[in-house]
Amino acid sequence: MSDTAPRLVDFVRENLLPAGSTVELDEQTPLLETGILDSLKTAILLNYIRDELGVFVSPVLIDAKNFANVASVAAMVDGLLVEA
Amino acid sequence: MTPDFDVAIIGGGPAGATAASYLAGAGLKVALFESEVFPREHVGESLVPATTPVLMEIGAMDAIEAAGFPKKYGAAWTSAESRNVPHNGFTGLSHDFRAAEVMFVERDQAGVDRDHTFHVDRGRFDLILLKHAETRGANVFSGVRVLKADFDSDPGQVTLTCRMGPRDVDFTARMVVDASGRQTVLGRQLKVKVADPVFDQYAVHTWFDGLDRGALAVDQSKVDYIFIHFLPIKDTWVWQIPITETVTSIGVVTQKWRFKEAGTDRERFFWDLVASRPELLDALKQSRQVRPFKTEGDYSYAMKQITGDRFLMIGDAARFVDPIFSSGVSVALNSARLASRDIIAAHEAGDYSRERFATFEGKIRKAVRNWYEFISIYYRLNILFTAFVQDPRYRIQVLKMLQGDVYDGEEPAALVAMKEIVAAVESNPDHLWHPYLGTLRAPTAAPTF
Repeated sequence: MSDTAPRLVDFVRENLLPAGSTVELDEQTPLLETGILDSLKTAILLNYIRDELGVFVSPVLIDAKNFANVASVAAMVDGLLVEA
Repeated sequence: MTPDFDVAIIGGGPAGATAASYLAGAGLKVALFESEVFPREHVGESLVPATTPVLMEIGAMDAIEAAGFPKKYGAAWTSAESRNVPHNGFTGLSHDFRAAEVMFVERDQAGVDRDHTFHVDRGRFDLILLKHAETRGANVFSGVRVLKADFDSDPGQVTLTCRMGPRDVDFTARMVVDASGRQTVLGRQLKVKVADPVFDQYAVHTWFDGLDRGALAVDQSKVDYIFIHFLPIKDTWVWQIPITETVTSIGVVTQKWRFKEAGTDRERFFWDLVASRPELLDALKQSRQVRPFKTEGDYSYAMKQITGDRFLMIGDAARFVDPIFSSGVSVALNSARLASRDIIAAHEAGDYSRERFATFEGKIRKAVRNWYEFISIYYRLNILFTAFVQDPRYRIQVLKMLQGDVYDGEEPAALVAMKEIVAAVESNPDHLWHPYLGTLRAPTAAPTF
């Protein structure tokens, strides 16, 4: 079982939630509609994925479907890990 | 009758002076006609490292180094994007889309033996190169304007009619090199000049003394890089180029229709645009403007033809697109170098027909097409460009372009990757980068010459 999703949840909770946010973040929490992720924060998240999870995500993949919630991001990352 | 000269060069800027140095150095009898008397002001003050091998080859590098121009180690970008990006101590991404920097030394470049190039006062720089051409044996005529080139009266030579003081004087040469810059003397005479269908940019620029170059910089150790400041107005940006220790060149580049629509003067227009980055406005207001505002427009064009029997065009006289990547002087020097090889061979063969210049034409066409595509895609990417610079997969290939290293004939890998990604972002409205795209779109068939 991949630990990608829990690691991403931790990272987003610690680094990308606005200060003082009361959001209870989990894998299904919408990231874009809630503004937790915008294109800029996505860049930070991608760098974490690159540096800590060792996966290069092509900029082509940065769309609303893949970044809907942590579960979808994790699925994309794990998919890329399998390909690599 | 024996012509007065082997080669006549129109224009004494970096392209003409470099060609004159190569050709006179190879023993050809060269005349160079420059309409102005140097030093004179000129836009295009930042060089790229691809100028280094040429300056070394013609033997001018020592004089350039000795002139004490500010050294340029890299390029930096800043944008107004600051929409609440919390970092919380995370350091993986240094500056999201707000800034990016790149150092030339990060990539080895053939023929380049140093970690820097220069920012130059073009009045001084161009004068050094022109004097160098003279020491190499070229006959330099300053204050002499070439009015026309006659290719027809005598098929064995070209006759140039030149305005010298109160009279018009004819000189003859075996061939003519047009290095007249954006005056495009031959391009206009031969009616081969074509305005670019996409780019119609407009620049307003001047010099400031005492500007705090670090006002918008993220990294204070890099304040003497060239800075490109994106303004929060589509397709609009500002250059910041060190000229001396205290003087800085500042120019705003935008689409020309904005100026027409504003219906104001160049000074007001400059300040109105700059005001869209308040921290830049503040820094400029605290410094002193030391030159009147100048404008540049109608500078994006190509030529249907850049070579012919007894002529070729180099530098801006052949093509110019946009100042964004400081490519002007580099294209001038490298096109002069490539042209000179073909001209020397033509001279040895005693044949100045168009076929003799095919190698030059092929290489310059490819290189300039690469610049054109890079510039197009850059405007389309807009601030997203900073993501490419910061991404290790693309950084070195992007740097290759920024170094001006585009003459090896291959399509740069950075271009391929950027085109692919721009296409994906354009076609996917859900892509998170979609709203950030610029408005300028490259035509499917860019003009060729």
